[in-house]
Amino acid sequence: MITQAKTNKLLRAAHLPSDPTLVIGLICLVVFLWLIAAPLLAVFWDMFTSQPGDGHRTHVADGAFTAYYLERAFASRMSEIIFLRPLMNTLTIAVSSTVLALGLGTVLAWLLVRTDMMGRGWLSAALIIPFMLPAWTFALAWTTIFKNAKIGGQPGLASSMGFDAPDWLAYGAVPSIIIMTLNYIPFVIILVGNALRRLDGQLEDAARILGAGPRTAFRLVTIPLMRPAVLSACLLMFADAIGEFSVPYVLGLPVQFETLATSLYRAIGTQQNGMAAVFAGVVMAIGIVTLGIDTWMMRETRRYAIIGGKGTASRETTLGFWRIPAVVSALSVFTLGVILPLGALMLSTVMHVPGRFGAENFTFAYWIGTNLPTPAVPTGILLAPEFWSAAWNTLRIVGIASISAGLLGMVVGYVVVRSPWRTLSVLLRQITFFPYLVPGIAFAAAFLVLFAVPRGPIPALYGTPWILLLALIADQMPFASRAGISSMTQLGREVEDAARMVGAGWLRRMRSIILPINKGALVAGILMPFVSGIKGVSLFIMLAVPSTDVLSTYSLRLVDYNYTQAANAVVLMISAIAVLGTLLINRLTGTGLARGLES
Amino acid sequence: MTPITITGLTKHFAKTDAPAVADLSLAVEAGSFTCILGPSGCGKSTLLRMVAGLERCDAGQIALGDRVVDGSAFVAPERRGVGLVFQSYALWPHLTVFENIAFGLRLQRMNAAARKARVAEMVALLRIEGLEGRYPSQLSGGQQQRVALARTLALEPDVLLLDEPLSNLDAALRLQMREELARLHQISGTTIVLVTHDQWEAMSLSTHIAVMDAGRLQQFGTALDIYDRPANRFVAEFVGSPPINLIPQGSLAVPSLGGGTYESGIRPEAIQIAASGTPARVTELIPTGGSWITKLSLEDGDQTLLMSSASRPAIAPGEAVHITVDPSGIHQFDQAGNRVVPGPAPATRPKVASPISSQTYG
Repeated sequence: MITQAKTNKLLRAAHLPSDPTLVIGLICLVVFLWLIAAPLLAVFWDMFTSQPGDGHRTHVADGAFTAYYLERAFASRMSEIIFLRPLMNTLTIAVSSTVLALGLGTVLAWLLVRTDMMGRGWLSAALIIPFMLPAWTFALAWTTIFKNAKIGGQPGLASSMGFDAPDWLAYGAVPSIIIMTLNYIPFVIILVGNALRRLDGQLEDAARILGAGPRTAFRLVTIPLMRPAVLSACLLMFADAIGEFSVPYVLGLPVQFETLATSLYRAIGTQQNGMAAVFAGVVMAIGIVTLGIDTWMMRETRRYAIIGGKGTASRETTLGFWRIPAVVSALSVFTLGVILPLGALMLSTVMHVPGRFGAENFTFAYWIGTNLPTPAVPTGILLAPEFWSAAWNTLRIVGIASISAGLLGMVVGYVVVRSPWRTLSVLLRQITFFPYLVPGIAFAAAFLVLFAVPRGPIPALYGTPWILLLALIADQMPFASRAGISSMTQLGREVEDAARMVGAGWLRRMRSIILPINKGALVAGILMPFVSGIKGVSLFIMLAVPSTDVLSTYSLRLVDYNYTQAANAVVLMISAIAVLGTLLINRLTGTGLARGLES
Repeated sequence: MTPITITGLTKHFAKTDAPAVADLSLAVEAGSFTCILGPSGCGKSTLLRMVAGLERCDAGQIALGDRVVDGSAFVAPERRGVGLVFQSYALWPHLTVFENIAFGLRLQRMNAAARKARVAEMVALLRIEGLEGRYPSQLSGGQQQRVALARTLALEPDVLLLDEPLSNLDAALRLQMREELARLHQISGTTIVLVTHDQWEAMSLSTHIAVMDAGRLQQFGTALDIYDRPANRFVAEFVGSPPINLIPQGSLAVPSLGGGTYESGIRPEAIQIAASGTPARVTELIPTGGSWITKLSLEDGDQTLLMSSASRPAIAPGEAVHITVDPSGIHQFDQAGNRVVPGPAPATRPKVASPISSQTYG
C-alpha cells in the first residue's frame, strides 16, 4: 500500500508540468553510475578474472574466474616482496605523517586561535600556504637539496656544499614522512583551528565556575568537544596518505621504496592488469573503511552537537615567557614548509651547478635562455614550445573538466535539494561523494580498466583527452557536488517559489534566478576543482599520453630526464597557479578553503 | 473577486504519520480578508502553499472560482493567477527593486513603457518611491516587505496569499503595515488569505478567521464569533490574551449547561471583584501597560484564576476578596473538548464550514 502511494506520488511529481527536476536527476544518476560506479566495479571484476595473455599463469581461459591474482598478492612466495612490503611502507608513512601532522598542527592551531602569540594574523595565512602547493613540489625540493651520489645527474645542493646525505635521509620513508607531514599540517590547522574558534567560551567558563582549574577544564570540557574535529582531520589525512603517489614516486625509486600506489603504477606500466586491480582494490578498501569510520564517528558525535551559537569567544591564554619560543617554532614550521622548499627550487633554476655561489654560476638561461646543453629541452622553459603546449593542455583539460564538474555540481545540488523523490537525492549525494573514498591513482586505474578498450557503444578512450577529462570530472565531483548542495540548501526554495508565483517556467527560473544568485558559489565550485586538478598528478600520470601532456606529467618527465632546473621551473609555475587560484577562491568566497574542506 | 473553495483537503509529508493537513474544508468568500490562525506547525503554511500550487494535495480539491486547480486536475502555480508574499519576502538578491517588481511583468511580455508605468504605480501605492535602483540587501525589513508586496500586486492577482507578513517587523512597523494591508484590501477588493500565528494580527485585520490545529480546521467565523463562541477548548484557549481560565467542572459555582460538561472556561475579563461571591485570595498584581492582570487563588482548593481589568483594582496581594463571574464570559466544554451548547445537542460539524454568523448562547 505504501509502495502504491509512493508510486502515485512519484507519478504525480513526474507529471508536474514545467518541472523536470526528476528527469534531470535520473539522467545525472545514469551518468554518474557510468562515470563512477562502473569503473570501480570493473576493477573488482578484473581482480577475479584472468586477464588477456595471463592464461599460462592462471591456467584458465581469458576472462574466466581465477583467484590467481589474489593468491599471488596475499599467499604466494612473492607476497612479501610484491604486496606486504609496499603495504607496510604505505602504512608506515601514512600513520607517521598523520600522527606527526596532528601533533604539530594541533599545537599550531591552538597557538594561532587561543593565545596571544605575536603575528597571529599573518601566520594564520602563511602557515596555510603549503596546503596550496602540490605535495610533490616538496619532494622535488627535497631531492634538489639532498640528492646524493647514489644516482646520476646533477648533485644536490647539500652534496655540492660538502655534505653527502646518507640514503635514509635522501630517499625513501624518512623524507616521505617529513614532506607529507609538512603538507598536512595546514589541513590540521584549518580543521582544528575552526573547531577551536567555534568552541563556545562559556562552556569552559561554566566548568571554571563549578570549580575546575584551567587544566581540568581543558581536559574535561575542551578536549572532549574537540575530539570529533581532531579525529575527523586524522582520518581524512590518513585516507589521503594511503593513496599518495607522487611523493613516494619521486623519493622512493633510488632505494626501491615501494608503496601500494607506486606498485599499482608499476603493475599498470608492465601490463599486469590483474595485479593492478588487486592493488587498486586494496587501496580503495583501506580508503573506504577509513572514511566509513569517519562517517560513523561523525554520526555518533552529532548526538552532542553544541547547542546555541551565540556564546562568547574564549579568552586568550597569555603565553608570557613562552611567547618568543612559540613564535619561533611557528616561524620555523613556515620556514621548513614554505621558504626552504620554494627557495631551494627557485635557487636551483637560476644556477648552472648547485651550491656554487660565484656570479658566473648564476643564470636565467633555464627560464629564458637558448642553446642549452639539454638535448630534449634546448631552450629555457618559458621559450620551450612543449611547456606552452603542456600549459595549454592543462588549462584546456583541467579547465573544461572543472567547468563541467562545477555545473554538474550545481545541477546535483539542485536535484538533491528539490527532488520530490528522496531516494534519488540520497543516491546522487552518495555516488557523487564516492570518488572521495577512492585515491586518485586507484580511480585512474579503474578508468583505465573500463575505458581502455571499446565497451558497448563507447569506443576506446585511452590516448584521447576524453578519458582524462571524464576521469577528472568524476574525481572532482565530491567537491563540486558538495559546493552545489550547500549553496542550494542555503538558497532555500522561496526565491524560486516566488519566481513561480509570478509566472516563471523552469528554464526561466534557472536562467534568471537560480544561476545568477549562485554565481559566486558556481565560480568557487569551478575554481576549487581547477586548483586541485592542477596540483594533482596521479590521474594524469596514468591516463595522459604524449599528445595530452599536461604540466605535471611534463615536469615528472623532466625529472626522469634529470633536467633538474627545467623540472623545478615547471613545478614553480604549477605552484604559482595553484596559490593564485586558491587566493582567488578565498577572495570570492570569503572562507572558501576552510569551507571546502569541511563540507 | 474570486472565491476559494477547499474540500476535504489532505496532505501527508513523507514518513510522518500525522497529516500536515487533514480533511480540511473551507469556503473563502470572494473579496473577503480571511486569516488562517494557528500555532506553529499546525499546517497553516502548508495549506497556503497548496492554494498557491507549490505543494500538491494527497486528497481533496481546491477550486479558485469555478476552476479546479488541485485535486481532479492540477494547475501549475505560474498559471493560477495567485499572488503569494513569502514570510522571508524571498526577494531576488541579484535584482534591483525595479527588476524585482518588473520580473513578472516581463514574463507577461508587457512592453518596456507599460512595465515602467506599472512599476511606478506600485511604487507609489506602497510608498517606496526612490528605492527602485537599490538591491534588496540595501533595504530595511519594512521596505523589503513593501517591495515583496509590490512585486506580487503588480500582476493584479485574483487571490493574494500572505504568509506571516508581519512577523518579521518591529512593533511600530507592524501597526503601520497592518493599516497598509487593510488599505490595500479596500482599494483592490482582492480575496486575501493571510496565515499567522498571531491572534492580534488575525483579529485586527480579517473579516473571517479560520482557526487550525494539528492539520484540522477547528472553527471558521468572524473574529467575534471565534472569541465569543469558541467551538472547542482549543479555540477558547488559543484565542484570547491573557488566556482563558480553564477549570474543572465543580470547582467554581458555575451552573452546568447540561449533561457532559467537563470543564468551564472563564474569560479573565468576565471576573469581577464583588462584595459577595466566591471567596478568593489575591496572589499577584501584574501591570501590562494599558491594563492589569490579577492572579487569584480560590480559597477552597488550589485553583488559580487570572482576572484582567482596565484599571488598577483597589486590592493588594495577600488580601482576601470575593469574586463574581459574568455568565457571558463562561464557556463550557465536554470531555472531548467540544463546546457544550444549551438545548438539544448540536449536529456534528458541517463538512464545508461556513462563517458562523449567529449562534446564540443563553
